[in-house]
Amino acid sequence: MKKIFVSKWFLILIVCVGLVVFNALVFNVSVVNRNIVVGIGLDYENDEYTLYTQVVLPKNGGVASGGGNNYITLKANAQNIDLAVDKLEKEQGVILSFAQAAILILGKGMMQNGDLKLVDTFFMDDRVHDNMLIAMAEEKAEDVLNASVAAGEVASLQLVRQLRPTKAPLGISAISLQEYVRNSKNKNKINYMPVVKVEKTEPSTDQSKEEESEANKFIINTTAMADENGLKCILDEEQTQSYNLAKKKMQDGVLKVEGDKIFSVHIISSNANIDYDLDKMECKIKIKLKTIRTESRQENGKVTFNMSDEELARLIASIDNRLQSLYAFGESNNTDILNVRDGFYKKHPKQKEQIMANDFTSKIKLVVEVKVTQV
Amino acid sequence: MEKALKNYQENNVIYTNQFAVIAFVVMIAFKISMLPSYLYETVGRDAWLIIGILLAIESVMFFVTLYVVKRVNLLADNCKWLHILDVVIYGYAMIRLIVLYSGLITYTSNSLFDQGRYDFIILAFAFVISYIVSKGGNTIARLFEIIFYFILAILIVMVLTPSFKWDLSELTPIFGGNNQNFLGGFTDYAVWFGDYIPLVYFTVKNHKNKILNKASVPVALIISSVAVVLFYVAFIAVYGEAGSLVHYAFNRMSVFNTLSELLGATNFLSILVWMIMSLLQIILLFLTATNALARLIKSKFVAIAFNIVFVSCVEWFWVKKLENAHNFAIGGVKYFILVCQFLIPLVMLIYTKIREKEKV
Repeated sequence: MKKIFVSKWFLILIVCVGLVVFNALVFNVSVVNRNIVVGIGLDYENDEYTLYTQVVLPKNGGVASGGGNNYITLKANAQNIDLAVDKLEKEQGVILSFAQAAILILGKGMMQNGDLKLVDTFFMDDRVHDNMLIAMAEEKAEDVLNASVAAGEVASLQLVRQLRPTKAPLGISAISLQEYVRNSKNKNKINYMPVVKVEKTEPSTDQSKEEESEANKFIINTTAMADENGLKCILDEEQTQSYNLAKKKMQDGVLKVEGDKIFSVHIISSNANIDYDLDKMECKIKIKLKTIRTESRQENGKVTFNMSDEELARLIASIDNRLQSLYAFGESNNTDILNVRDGFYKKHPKQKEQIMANDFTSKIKLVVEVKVTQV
Repeated sequence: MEKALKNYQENNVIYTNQFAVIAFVVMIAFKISMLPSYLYETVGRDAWLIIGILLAIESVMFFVTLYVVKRVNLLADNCKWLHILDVVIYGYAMIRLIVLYSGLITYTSNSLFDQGRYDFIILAFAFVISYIVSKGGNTIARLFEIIFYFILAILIVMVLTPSFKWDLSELTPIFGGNNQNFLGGFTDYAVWFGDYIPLVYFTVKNHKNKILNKASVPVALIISSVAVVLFYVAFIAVYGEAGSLVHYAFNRMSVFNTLSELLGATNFLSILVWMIMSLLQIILLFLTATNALARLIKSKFVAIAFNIVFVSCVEWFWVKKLENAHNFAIGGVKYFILVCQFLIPLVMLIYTKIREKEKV
């Protein structure tokens, strides 16, 4: 008897039985009874939140067999997200799977009057990935999720494609859930997120085939600035570019230089570093740019893509002007757009009282130093 | 039965390089899961400094343990006074086992599966743990050694492929935060430290390779300590003040590990490596509790059976949630654990000196 229990066959039998009954370990729900969420929307109106979930409805055979997928947007009103999710699941008789959720769209009403701490619910949910993107809808999140984009594509995934291209472009200030929540927990910081605008466009060829009369496209070139109380201001296209230059590492984008003779440069890479000097009451932004002129020009009878000395000076002056204007815009909106206060506090924690004074940022002199390398 | 126990006692002999591998794994496993979040909650952005200091102390204690286990075989020593130490070590191992094991079970049931069955997962682990422990310390050390290369390969991939957006300014000002409880940082999480204690029941033999013999332990301890501190630096820079909301730090951080846009995230590798490392550490702690009890009741089989039933029941009926385990860990037991962490090696050191004098 003892030999049986120590034999390899007994062990193999145990493993086989274990594998068969392993199914009991997990709460298994068939994919038919699951709604795989690819995008989430959140609106706030009349003291109530509306949660939208854009979900996949797999067709027979799936994409691999040329079947493609259908998507629908489900919605539920409730006082908080958990209640809304519960309501959706009960109404649909399904389990919502958030693991594939790639974007969270917050409506304008949510940004202005809703409780932004609700975003933490997604952050604390282990099923939601921290690299899920966050964006603000110019009006309602519903409009964005219901937009009719190119045939075969769905609004959420189209947005992710635009917000997260291979290289970080100058005009888009994409932000992930991780970065958003990190910033939101720091009371000295102002958060940012791209604003999505839905515009009408001509239907694509594929859409025409499916007899769609209307089509939409997303315009993402502005940025919303928000603190714990909600939306503070919205940066326009030029201000968004300036913000990105000062705060982010860029790998793509075109910068236009206004003047008598307009020209533009393609940004290959940009890197910014901010230095805080409390004695001089100075905030110095050092920007390193690697660029190439977008159009060629003639110099000494030769074709070149390099800027002339005069153009280089104009580019540097242009960036300086843009950043000064951005800082002034922030001051006029009582918003520390560049998070100067946080930077000073981290460097000079003992001078907290001075730094946290209401008029501190207005006393700060912004110095911009630009180093351009032409490729 | 006595013969089986004798074999078991002789089964605890390992080589210096195996000691190093065990030290490497246990120094990392549970320190990169829940601890970053707990420590951030207590000491804020300076958590990386506190963990650095604690790991330095832990490393020194590993050397003390190595000195002891190279000279005595506690498992085969019949000195009656040592049974007092067995009782203390048993209590120590069980407390740590209850707290850390709950982390592994909760992770498996909540994160690895969608609403996984807590009870069945305990049952599945119970078979695995008790079977491996029944094979003895030697086999467990070999298991650590075999899996080490796999762990190392994955850790290298994880280190080389991060794509998170960190903000190193989140680490400043150093010692400038509000409501930081540094004393709490050093004492509250004692249950997550003292990984050298389970090694006192091993006997370490020198490896034939002299370089490996001399360098393996210091290298393993330095690399693992630096890796953990760097992990905390990255964790704080990535999550900042949201750090206290992040459970299973290793899992959340690895979402940002991408090999390429095409292949996507490599977080499944982190899940694999953590599951293996944590299970190995749980097995080691279970072995410690089993050794202590087996020395007292003179039966390995009864010790394993009692321990597995006891621990499983505690997890199943009493702990249930990770919060309960956490509250238990930061309660009064932390002082017992803290005292044990220094007292056990010290007592063993004195005992070793006495033994050496007796031999002379």
